[in-house]
Amino acid sequence: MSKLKFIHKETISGSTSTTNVTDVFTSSYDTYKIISTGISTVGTAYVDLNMRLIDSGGSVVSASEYDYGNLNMLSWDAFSETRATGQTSFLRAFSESTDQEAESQGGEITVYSPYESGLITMITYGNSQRYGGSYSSGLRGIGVHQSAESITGFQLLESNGSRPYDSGVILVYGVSS
Amino acid sequence: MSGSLVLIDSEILTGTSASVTLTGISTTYNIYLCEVNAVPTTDDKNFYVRVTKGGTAQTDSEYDVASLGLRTDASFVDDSWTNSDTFGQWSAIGNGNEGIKLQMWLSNFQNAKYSTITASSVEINATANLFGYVGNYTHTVESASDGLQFYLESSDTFVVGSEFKLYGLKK
Repeated sequence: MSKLKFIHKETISGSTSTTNVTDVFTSSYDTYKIISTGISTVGTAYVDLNMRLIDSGGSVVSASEYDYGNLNMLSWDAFSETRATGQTSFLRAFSESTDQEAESQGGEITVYSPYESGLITMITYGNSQRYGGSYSSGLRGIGVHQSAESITGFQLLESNGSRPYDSGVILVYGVSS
Repeated sequence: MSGSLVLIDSEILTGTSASVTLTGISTTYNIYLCEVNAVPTTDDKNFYVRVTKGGTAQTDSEYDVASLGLRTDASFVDDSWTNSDTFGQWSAIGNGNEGIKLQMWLSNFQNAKYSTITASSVEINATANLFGYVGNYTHTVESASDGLQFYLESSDTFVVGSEFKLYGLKK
């Protein structure tokens, strides 16, 4: 049975459109679990929460190297699929959408072999949220960063660029056997 | 998964029970994990979950669900609805050596935001087919929730040995 070993807690307390979590992926573990909760926007316009990776030099990887496939599960409408290759982030890996408190999100991301420089990094993710005054949704997705390099961290970013968030917690764990 | 998981509440049934309630969610942790391994006494019973506030199960019509049912005997099914009075999702659970295994990640229970759950389950249903859900569940009330209640269709009971556990995740 695997065990979760606590690595890092990131508390979001000020208005921002990006959050970088650095130096959390090391040679100590092959697999990592990222748990997020309570990320809500400053304003009333809802926004998707995406993910990028951070390389061993501390730089956010913003190149068109991300592939993903998402199932959007909507409580009020038909489900839909969103898939793409060569994108600049993992779309909605943190949240299908989030909004102003009391609306918010919760989710988990599993990251496989990020630190190993000879391997590409793969992720799986799932999240639940409430937004837009009446929308409850979920999402399940898979993603891959199509460039073999050592990854040591990640970035949370809102997709619009001008719809910042100001609350929430991100927890990072290593998965050990 | 242990290590960073702290057991908050648990029930391992020594007698049959029509419902089980786990409580103890507070601001001590940001995230909680609930695991269920349960079997109904009677075959072909639906399994339901409600949130609790102050230890009392909420029966309001504030439960939204969006989930995908995966199964071996037919096409996958999109299941979603709004404003129900329960997270009534897990259908036709088999008895005997069948039953349901359920894992739920609980977010925003400890604060005044909407309580949300990201869950995965697997069951053998009453027709002996493998069935599972990946689902997302929201109780649309802006106040803290302190636990979950589990119960079955038609006041059926859970068998002896059914397990219900609630963990906090160390931060």
